[in-house]
Amino acid sequence: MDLEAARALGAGLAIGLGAIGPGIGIGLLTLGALQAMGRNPDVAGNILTNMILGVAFTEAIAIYALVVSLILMFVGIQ
Amino acid sequence: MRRILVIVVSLAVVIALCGPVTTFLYSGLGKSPYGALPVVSLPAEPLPIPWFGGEQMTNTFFTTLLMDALVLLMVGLGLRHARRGQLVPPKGFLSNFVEALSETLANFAESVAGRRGASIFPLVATIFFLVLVGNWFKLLPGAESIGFLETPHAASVPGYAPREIRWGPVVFYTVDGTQPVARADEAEPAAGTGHAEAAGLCTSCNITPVIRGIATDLNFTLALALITMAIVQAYGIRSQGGRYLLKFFNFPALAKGPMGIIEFAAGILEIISEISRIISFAFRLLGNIFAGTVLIFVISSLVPFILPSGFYALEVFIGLIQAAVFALLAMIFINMATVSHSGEHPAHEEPAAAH
Repeated sequence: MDLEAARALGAGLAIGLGAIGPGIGIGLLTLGALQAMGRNPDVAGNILTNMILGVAFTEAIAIYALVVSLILMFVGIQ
Repeated sequence: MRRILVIVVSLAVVIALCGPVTTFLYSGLGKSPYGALPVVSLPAEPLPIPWFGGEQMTNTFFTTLLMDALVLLMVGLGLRHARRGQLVPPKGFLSNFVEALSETLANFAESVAGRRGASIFPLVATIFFLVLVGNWFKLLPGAESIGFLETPHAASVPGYAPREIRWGPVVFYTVDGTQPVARADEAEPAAGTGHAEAAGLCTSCNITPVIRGIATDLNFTLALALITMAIVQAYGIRSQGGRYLLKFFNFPALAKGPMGIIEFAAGILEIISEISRIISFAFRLLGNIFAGTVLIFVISSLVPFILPSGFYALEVFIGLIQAAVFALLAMIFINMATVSHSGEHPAHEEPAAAH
């Protein structure tokens, strides 16, 4: 396997595998938040704030994978 | 809130309706005669415009200046009725648009930070409008497609033969997608020679766009993230004084004995958490907007028929959502910094394991 192919493969795998966990995590977070909002609509604003915060922290893990794959694709490794 | 929804939905519908129109401009399904692979480049491309000290201005920086002017113009025009004291502005898209967005943001600031919301709002609204205008402007026709004909800056980018189009007295140059030309290794340096008039000079050409989405450049998003996190610290120190620094360097806890050491270590972890927030701020915006650009490039070169307009409509939503997420997170972080956590239950009130 030549270097270009290995880089493309690595970049694809990095973001593809790295997005699985955060995907599940954001799904669970939103599930919980929406259920809480449905049960108690009065505090929906408060729940929304905390949900966005949680989603942002979860998403950060996918962003690390994105950084790795961007580095693999666009920053040459000699 | 409903007004914004109406605006965004109607914008998306208009863009989706543009699909059939552009489709008739293509002469062949999937085989546009001028179709060339667009340049996908993560670093900003330098434009042949002189700038300070012989440096070349990059296209994202040029666009950022343009967006600054546009935001000032938009908000200035949008607020001129409010400044005159008219509570109900006359019919006008811009006034209503700016007012609806500002009002939503101000309400959210108030619901997050209470009375302090009014002092957080200006900074957050500035970030929001700049990012929003930048994200939407790059969807306009001509952005990321009109530019200078140049030898590609990177060796991995394919080059094409230049092609002339004459519309009466007007002459355009574009690249011929059916004729890829291998790049000569001893090609002239990329600096300055690639202007459209000098198209004869470049044999293996590609187009460097003049206008490119500002959030597709890490320089812009990282600068925004650094400014935001610096202001978060400033707000924390302003509202809590020196006690804010105890969040990071919890020396008093050391006096409490063995358990205090753990609290001190948790304070050090807070520093790492702040730094990782800068990274995630910068790369969240960059990743989403850059991925959107690449998505539209790929879809347009695979199926240049109706389908891309759907993705353009999606990008309108993503542009708004990412601008809102950046602004909301800035707001939440500022609010978290201004609220003292070292009061009653220092051990339990730590935000559980940020990263």
